Amino acid sequence: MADQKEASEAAKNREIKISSSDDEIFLVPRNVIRLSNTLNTLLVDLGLDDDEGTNAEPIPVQNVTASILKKVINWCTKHQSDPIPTEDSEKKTDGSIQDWDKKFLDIDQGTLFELILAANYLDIKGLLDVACQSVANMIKGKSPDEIRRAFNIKDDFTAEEREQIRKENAWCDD
Amino acid sequence: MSENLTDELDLMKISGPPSFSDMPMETVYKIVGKVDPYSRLAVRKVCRNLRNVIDDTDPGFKYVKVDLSRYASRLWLTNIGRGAICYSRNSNDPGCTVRRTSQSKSIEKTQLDAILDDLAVIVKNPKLRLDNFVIVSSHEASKQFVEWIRDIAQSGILLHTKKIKLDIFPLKDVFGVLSHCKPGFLEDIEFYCYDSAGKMDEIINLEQWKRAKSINIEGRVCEDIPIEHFFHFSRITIKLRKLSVSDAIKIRDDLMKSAHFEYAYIKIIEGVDPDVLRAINPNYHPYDALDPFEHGNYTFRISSDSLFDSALKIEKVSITEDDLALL
Repeated sequence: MADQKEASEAAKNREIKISSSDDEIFLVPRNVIRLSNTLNTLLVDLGLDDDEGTNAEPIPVQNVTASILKKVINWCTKHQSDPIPTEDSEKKTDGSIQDWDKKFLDIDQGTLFELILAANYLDIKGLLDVACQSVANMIKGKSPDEIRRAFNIKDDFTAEEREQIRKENAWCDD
Repeated sequence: MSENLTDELDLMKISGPPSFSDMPMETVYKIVGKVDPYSRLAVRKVCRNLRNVIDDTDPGFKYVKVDLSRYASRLWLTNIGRGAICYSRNSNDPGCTVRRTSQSKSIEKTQLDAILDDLAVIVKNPKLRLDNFVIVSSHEASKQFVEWIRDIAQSGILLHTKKIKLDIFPLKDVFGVLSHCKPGFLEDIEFYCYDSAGKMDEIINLEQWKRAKSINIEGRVCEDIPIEHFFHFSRITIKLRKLSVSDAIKIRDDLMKSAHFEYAYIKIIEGVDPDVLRAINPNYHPYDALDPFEHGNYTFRISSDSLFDSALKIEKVSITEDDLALL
């Protein structure tokens, strides 16, 4: 029991060095890193998981810029004590987003999608869930035309397809 | 200079912030999976890619009710609050008007075609999993409904619903609908059958019937069905003209010894014969009618309601040892 507590404290105090795609370096507590399955796997594969100190060479996060990685770290720091989400917990969600996350995700659309891509790449399930939920909430109640305009999506239906689709569930067009 | 500028613009375009269309497919599926069911129908109309994603995703609806009345048909996609989508015929042309909340649209289809075409978008999705599907019909509409569901089934899609309720259906159309439900997934069958004509033989031989757990038949007297054909159900609500002592003995010796049995509620037109009650519970006495009794490995309570309608209710009860000690 005492050993477990000491190990937990050590993990909390240990910092991992990671670098963004534009070579900015971040020191992140090990306990925060655990939310990313990708980084956890890298630590194990590189044999760094058993080390107690900070790694000399940073672990590269090649697909994520510094500005986005900073946001990701911020989110993980806030949620480091959250239980690991499961498929069941995801299914039980009613679509609501906690206030802190709502404020965190109140960003421009491009940044939000970059955040989603980063969460997907780093395999941070909780962040991916809440960011995707944020996009889903933007869609709610909108007509097809409004959705296209909101997300700059091209209507690629043929004229015949468009006419057929227009007739289906016409009540949801406005 | 012009070439350099073009390259710079291309570079800017490539390095611009990502948009919805840049999301990997697994992420698009994840986003769509979080969109509410009503909005998914709108998303389906946005572009071909999203249409394909929606059609490959559970529509998300758990309750569907469709009222195919002659003058105005209605479609409910939720059992919470008001939310019916109304389809009413136009007075000056063969088309109809579709209305939900304050929005309305005129469509060049009959109301029945319009409502069934709209419903088909949902029902044709092979990943649809309903808890309850309710159809209120009229004679002509039920025939068209059966043809509609048969057409859908021809593409290999069976209706996945745990409960189905068919209201105002002729018996032949009850068969037509039940035969296109997914056997084993369908647990609860309820129908109000207004005609005494037609045979139950085809229905009771359906796999859907044999694998269901609950049956509720309103309106029709089930005197042409041997009582044993109900014994695989856990919950039974039927109407009989008369319950014989021999059938009561079958109920006692077979149905009441089944582990799955929960209750049977049998309306009996000619009244409940006291000999029937004694056949089920040899110790039956009117003054102790509601006392639970043991039979086989289980404890039961029987009641006979004759205030408004003669009915026999046989119910397996959970009973504590303390309760048993008081008996």
